[in-house]
Amino acid sequence: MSFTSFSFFVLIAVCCAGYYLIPARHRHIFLLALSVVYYIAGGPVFLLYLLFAALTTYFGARVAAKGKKAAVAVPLLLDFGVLAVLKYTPLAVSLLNHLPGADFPIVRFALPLGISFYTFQSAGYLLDVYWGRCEAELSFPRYLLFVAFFPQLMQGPIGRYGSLAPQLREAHAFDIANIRRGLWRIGWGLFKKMVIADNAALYVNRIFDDYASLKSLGIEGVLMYSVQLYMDFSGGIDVALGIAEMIGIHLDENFRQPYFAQTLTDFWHRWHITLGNGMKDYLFYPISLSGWMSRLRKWSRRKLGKEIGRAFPIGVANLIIFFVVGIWHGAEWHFIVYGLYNGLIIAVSGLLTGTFRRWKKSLGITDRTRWFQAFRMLRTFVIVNISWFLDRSGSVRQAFQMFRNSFRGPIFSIHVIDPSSPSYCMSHFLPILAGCAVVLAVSIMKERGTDVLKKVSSLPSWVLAAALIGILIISAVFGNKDVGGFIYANF
Amino acid sequence: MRTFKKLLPFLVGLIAFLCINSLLNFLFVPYQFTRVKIHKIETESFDDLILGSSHGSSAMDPDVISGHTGRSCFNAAAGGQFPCDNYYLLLDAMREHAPGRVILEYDPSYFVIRDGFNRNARYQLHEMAMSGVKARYFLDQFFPGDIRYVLMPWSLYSLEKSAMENNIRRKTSDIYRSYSVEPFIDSAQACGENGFVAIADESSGERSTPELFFSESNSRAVEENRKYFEKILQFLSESGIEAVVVMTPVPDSTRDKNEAFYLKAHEMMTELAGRYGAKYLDFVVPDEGDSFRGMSWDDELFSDGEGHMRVSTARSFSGLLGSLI
Repeated sequence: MSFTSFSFFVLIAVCCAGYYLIPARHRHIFLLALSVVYYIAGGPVFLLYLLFAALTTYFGARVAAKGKKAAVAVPLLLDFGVLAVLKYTPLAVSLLNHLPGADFPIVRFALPLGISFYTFQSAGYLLDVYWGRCEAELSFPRYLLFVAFFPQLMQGPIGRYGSLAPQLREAHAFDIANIRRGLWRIGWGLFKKMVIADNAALYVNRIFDDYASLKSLGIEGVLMYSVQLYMDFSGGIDVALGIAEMIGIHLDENFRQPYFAQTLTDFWHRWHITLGNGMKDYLFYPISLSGWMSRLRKWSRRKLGKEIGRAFPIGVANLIIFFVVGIWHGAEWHFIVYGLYNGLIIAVSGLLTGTFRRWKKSLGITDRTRWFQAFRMLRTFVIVNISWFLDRSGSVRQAFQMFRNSFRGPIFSIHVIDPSSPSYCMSHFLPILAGCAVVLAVSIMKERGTDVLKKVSSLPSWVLAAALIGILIISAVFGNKDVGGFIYANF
Repeated sequence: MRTFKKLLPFLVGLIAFLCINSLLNFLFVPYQFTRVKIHKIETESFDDLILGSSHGSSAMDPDVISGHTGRSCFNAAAGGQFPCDNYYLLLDAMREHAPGRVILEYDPSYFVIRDGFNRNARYQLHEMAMSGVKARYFLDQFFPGDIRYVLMPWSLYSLEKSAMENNIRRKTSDIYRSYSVEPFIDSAQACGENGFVAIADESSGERSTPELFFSESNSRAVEENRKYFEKILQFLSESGIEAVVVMTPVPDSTRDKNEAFYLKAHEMMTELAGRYGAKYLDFVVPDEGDSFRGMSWDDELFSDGEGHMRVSTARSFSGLLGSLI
């Protein structure tokens, strides 16, 4: 059930009306029922996988709360085992087939909706309980709701038990301000998705699918992909946050103007924030505090000196984290290289921090120098866009070929999606341009500290109603209706 | 009461949206031949009802078929009409008048298309009279669809001023109210009261030969279309209505280029039709003993490479079909 489908809008309406009409003590059951309906719409069988993950971590946490390590290890092995089999079998088989004489057929399983998200979220809960950050949930229906809460199930944001579960438990009174904020957010998300991302997808699909003949348009393709991916993913998150907002639940933000980032590390603090935070808490810190890392830290300080010796183990941990981020995105080599590319740049920049600091000092530049900030922003944008080649391409080879060919001819063509119909191309290109201008203006305001949502939410309700009607009509006229699903729903 | 007051602007907004949307639908959704066909099947009864795609609508002239069978016949096949749409069209027709026999045109090239926004289906839904069938059709095919497709079908059409003026003129005239076929007759093709679309002998469409194949990428579409085709056959079998499945001829060059595709399509339908006791006439891959086996279908008999027949070919073919059923 896509966020842009009619059925989903009916679900939102039922959710909102039902939530406030049903007695407070039954609301979690109501939300759970809606989440199950939502999940079943994507394939009834897949519900079993979700239940399995929820049951293993629910019972695991009950025991793990008593400090039993095995109660953490077993559910994690089971859940990530299921994820690995479903998602990574083709990669494993293709690796095995490199062995002499091996020729196993590549089996592809249908992936349950949002499996990466709910596996990660439920694993996070289990670890939080084990580490004493939160109490184990006693009620299974309440816990299942935390795992399966429908607005965030498909593509996040990845919720933390400590912040989400109490909100799901609490009975929120009807507040028109929440409805307004939620509706604005949903409208904004749909605008980004239907008007900008789906039109950009036309260019992206055309250029990436036919990269061999459209040799030099790689830069256009990747720029359009950076637009598509951000608008698609953040648009979907806006819708999820908006729905939750309407019933008084505040989900974690997942984006904070990522293309304004000054460094790649900064970018990852602004992009898919909940995944980054999860990786930091559940992987980076445990790795950093592990015994072997401690030994590596001592060794590197002794052999590489104080400055590099301190950055080296962090770089190794970052490489591991981004390897996992890459493989989390998909069981293909280009995703793994995408992750390693990010990890390597962050690791190397960590190693060179001291050198950069000395250069800046000698040139009289500080991090507050305006032109230097602009330079860093542009540099980071370029670095990120190079990574998008790897993310979007079907293979590492394709990514390298596209990148290499990018400078061998004209780099931009509005008419690439249909050279025989300039008006058709303009009808898709102009909405991207205009939409990006609107998003850029809003992003600048947010970056300067303006609470845009608060401002627009305080406008009279009729303005909101008119804006929503406008967004629907604009998306009907200018949106590309053939794209459909969200990119991150595939993860 | 206070809550209601707070929600009032949203309710007014919803009503405003519905009004604006209805106006846009009126302005931009054109009058189409499907309106005539649905009106016919909902208000009249026929001994033989033809269902299918554009191949069926342009190949089977009900008057010629009636001349051979002595039974009344209506052609409800249409371009962009998938097995699912045909299924609900059949149920819609059955509400008032059950046909004695259904001639089901089978175009396997429709089976391999992944169908997204199908404005023909959306228009069919729009034109169907309010009924349980319409509600089922909506829930089955439109409820999970994109909100713009479901709520704002006007966005699927030309939004130019000339199109709007044309639509207003037609929809406010007697032509629209009386379900006239007059707007659907021009030098290239003529849509008749009997549902037949006569493509002029002089008309010439895309001559290139299509490339058709079953593959992993279209397996879901095949499964979906096959499911509804089977539902039609099962429904007819359970209702005691005779079913005849017909694969209309395609140009020889198209058949030769896609031999494997048509063979597989033939196997699939032979099995399906056999299971429900339907008669199956395949003019592309005839069976041993079929009287029409060995017939040649020259490219010039068709208006295009896909296999839409020219009117004179269609009339001879309809005569042949009428004599066989």
